Amino acid sequence: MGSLDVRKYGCFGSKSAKFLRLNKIKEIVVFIFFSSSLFAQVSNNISSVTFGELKTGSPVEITAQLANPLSVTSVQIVYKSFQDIDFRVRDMEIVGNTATYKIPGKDISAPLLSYYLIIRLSNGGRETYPQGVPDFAKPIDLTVNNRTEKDNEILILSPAEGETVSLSDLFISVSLVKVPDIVDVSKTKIILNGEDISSKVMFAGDLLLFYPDNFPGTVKSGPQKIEIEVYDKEGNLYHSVMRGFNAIGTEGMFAAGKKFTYKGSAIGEIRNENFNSQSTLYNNIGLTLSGKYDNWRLRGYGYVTSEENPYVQPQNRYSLTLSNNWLHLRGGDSYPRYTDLLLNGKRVRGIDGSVEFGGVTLQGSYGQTRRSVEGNLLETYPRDNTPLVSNVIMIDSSKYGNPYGRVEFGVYGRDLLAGRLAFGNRNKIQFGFNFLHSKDNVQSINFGAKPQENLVAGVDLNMNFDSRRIVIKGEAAVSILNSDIATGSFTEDQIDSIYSTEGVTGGDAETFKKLSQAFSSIITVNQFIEPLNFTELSSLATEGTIELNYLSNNLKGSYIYRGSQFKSFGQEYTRTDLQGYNIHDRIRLARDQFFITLGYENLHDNLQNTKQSTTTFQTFRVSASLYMQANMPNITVGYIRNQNQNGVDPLDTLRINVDDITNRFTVNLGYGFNLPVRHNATLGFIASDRNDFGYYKSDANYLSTSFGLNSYWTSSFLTSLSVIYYDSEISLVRYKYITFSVGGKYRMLQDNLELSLYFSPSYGDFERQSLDFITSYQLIQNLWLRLQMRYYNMTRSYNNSIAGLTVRYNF
Amino acid sequence: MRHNKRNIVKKSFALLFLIAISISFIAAAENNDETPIALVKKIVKNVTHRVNQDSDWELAKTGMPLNSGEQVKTGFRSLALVLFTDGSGLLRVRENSILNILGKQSDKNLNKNTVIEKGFVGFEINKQEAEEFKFTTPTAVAAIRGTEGFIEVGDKNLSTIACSEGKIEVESLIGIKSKIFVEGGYFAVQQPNGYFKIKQLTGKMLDKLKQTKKSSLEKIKIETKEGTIEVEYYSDEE
Repeated sequence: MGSLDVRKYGCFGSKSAKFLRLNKIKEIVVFIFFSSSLFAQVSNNISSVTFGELKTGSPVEITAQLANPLSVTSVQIVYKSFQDIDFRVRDMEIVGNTATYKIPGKDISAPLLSYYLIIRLSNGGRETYPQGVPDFAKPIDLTVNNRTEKDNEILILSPAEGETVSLSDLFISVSLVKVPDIVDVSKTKIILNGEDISSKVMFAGDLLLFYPDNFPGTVKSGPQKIEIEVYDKEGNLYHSVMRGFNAIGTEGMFAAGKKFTYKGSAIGEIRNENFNSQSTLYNNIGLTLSGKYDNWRLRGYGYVTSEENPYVQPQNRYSLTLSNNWLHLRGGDSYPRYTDLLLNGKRVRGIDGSVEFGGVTLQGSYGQTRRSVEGNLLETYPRDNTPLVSNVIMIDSSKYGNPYGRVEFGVYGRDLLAGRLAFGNRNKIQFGFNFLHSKDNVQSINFGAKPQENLVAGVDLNMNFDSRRIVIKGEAAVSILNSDIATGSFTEDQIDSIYSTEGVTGGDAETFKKLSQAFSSIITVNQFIEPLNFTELSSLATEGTIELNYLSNNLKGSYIYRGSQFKSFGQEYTRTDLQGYNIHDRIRLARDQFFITLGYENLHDNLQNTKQSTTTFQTFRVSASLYMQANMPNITVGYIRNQNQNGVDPLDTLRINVDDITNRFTVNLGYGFNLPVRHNATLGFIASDRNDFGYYKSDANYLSTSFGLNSYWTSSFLTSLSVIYYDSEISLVRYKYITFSVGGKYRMLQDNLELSLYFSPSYGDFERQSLDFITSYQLIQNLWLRLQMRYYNMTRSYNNSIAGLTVRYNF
Repeated sequence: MRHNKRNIVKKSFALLFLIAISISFIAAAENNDETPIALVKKIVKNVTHRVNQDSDWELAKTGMPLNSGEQVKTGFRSLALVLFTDGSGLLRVRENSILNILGKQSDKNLNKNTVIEKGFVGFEINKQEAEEFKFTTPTAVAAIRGTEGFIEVGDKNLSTIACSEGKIEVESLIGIKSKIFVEGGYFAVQQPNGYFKIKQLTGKMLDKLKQTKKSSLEKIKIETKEGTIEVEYYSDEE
């Protein structure tokens, strides 16, 4: 399959040419789709994705294991909750063979979280996980549990969530004073890092206490997880809650009596990868350090990898953070968070800081979001023999012999400056002004195309009343984009020349000169600047939300307006040319055992009449979740109906008719039971049916079923079993496969040695066998060795094996 | 004589009965059926406690449960963090303070009253629904419904109540027994006649509120010609 011949299809003035173009595009899309096995739940680059416990309002960390880290340059997570309008796109932090991101609690709400990953490859390619999202596959849905009344009944008083506590001060305390009478407090189990320590717990009425001092060796320094299981009088599980915290030995604490104290860890990894017959060795080292002096805190992080090379974006990471009660300053790589329209979570290499004083907050960031990568000169041409193709550009003839050259374009380095000044308390009422300026460095490379510049200015407002029962949020921003600054701003002579041309209307040369003088100090002013007319509001973006939490209802209404020309380099994936509203209500019933979510969204595009027709996107969502107190499975049933229409007559041969309806059903069940040991089972069904009555007739339907079972045989031994069945028919092409996964973890030698083994074969249209073996061993206190071996066999394409050794030392 | 014998027997039975009842109560207490109303989350330096007014002060330990009526005392440069077992909040008992924690269970609700005999106590209390949460000083009673601030018993046992968030209802127990409300951003200073003056939180009071939250003790050693001087101070809570 070759590329499109621009000359052949360069003119689309006629109806037949348009038809040809559309068919051609369709063919290409279909070809790409089939030639690269673009189907859900499988990936060549992601071997697994794990989430922490998903609960409304609680932050969660997502970790993606990279199957082939050498070929991946960046990973982004794209996610949204059930009732959100937009997907959020965030950069994940890559360290070695894992990519991580912590989703803030405010972005998570029941009943479902949909997500997919975008993986950018070192060869310039792009892949999603699951493959083919969003055109040919759907994002993955995960069940989000509500914080229920039961969560509030089981109180882990100590340690607090995420608390770092010294082993000498550690105690675990759980209060069950709020549980109902059907609970038998004496049957409560406390499980610490998988080990049932209930027999070591003291009961003082409804208060449970565990003092590790009384049982030396029970808790070792490092991350800890406690799970509290509460049972009713009949022995059925009533509810369970979990908490994570860190325990550190006294040597790890900031000791009193020293002026400057510190702690940290160092990690080194050596890894060999065989891809078919090609073998590659790579190494990386990482160092984290934190120190404290008086009220000041210092945090340092460095990661150096052999994957770093000047032809791709940076792979190494480093940062140094200095903070106290009112100042936060970070140099190196940072991920500043401003507002959703301006800048949120994008990597900036430079300096980032904020100062908070009284009711005033000042935040600023300056640095590089993209480094320059030089292009290649492939061939030079004399003036009279230059082909008319897009990658032939003017070059320095004194340097290269000829005035034109065919090049492989490089990437300009891009700088960014952002700031925000806010007044008030963010927990009550806060009003902020923000701006962003980002510009490609024209001098950074010799062979590039269309360097750009972007300016965004905005305001934001946040108000909370009646203990957050009323929340009002709003933000608005306008942007200016210059899509080619290579030639710089207009000179006065150029402006005179333009206005001297016959037929040019709109203003006069003197006014334009004044405007150019006024604005050229902040952005390049030339013919590529947009918008040209601010009154059309094409570069305005605004959104407002009102949330009311009363009478067991969480009612939320949002309005958005995003002009077709709005652009922020700090949030490059914001969906534009969109206006409409979204309203949803989550209702808690039956003492927080039954939840109903209802939502309706109505959006449309073509705000500035730049398209031939206006498409309306309507979505209706409903879900019901049942979390029964008795020993029954949790069930969430959801239905989403999405209808897109542009009202164009199907017989209209000049315009494309959009008319499709997608019905999507989801059922998720979760069940924890004892038979005879503890098991956690999940079962999920997703069925989607898209009927396309429009021009493309691209009907699609799929069914995905998954089952998972984790069994805790002893405190040191757990097994996992999962089965995924996928069956789809997209544009009359059938694709189906089944994947099994079986494995387990076993700890021995007083928990100093951990072994895990997982085997996962897939059969059907997707055939692959994967084997993962990991062993970790604590050689001496605080020194860990980890060996990882992985083997992939893609029956129809490649073999891939990875062997890596990691050493970690905490100090 | 016989009548006396009968009396002795009756009295003996009554005594035995009382002893049996007492033993059963003690046994019940030892069976830990009573749920403590609070526990000591953190201790810095010298913190003691006693079961009741008649018992001796003993060293307190981290994680120690506190039953209704138990007292906590902090020494010089000392601090105790006290957590309520119903999850209703946290007290920061600053140096040289004595407080008595009282609680009464009513259905599933625990009504709490913290009696501050002297000293300075910072608090972070979650929104109370049906429960009562009170502080009592020798001269005032403060009813809390979800708020942050501190209470100080100063000269002549007069009370100062500061509120950074929420609302506190305060009633004077001396002189003019007035009832006032202290809202977030304000503090009330009790006058000798019992009257409360309400003022907006000043920079000094805001600093005091911030200091209240510090609970990690740091130490600096200064070498001088005369020897080493150790300076202890509270830094931000970890």
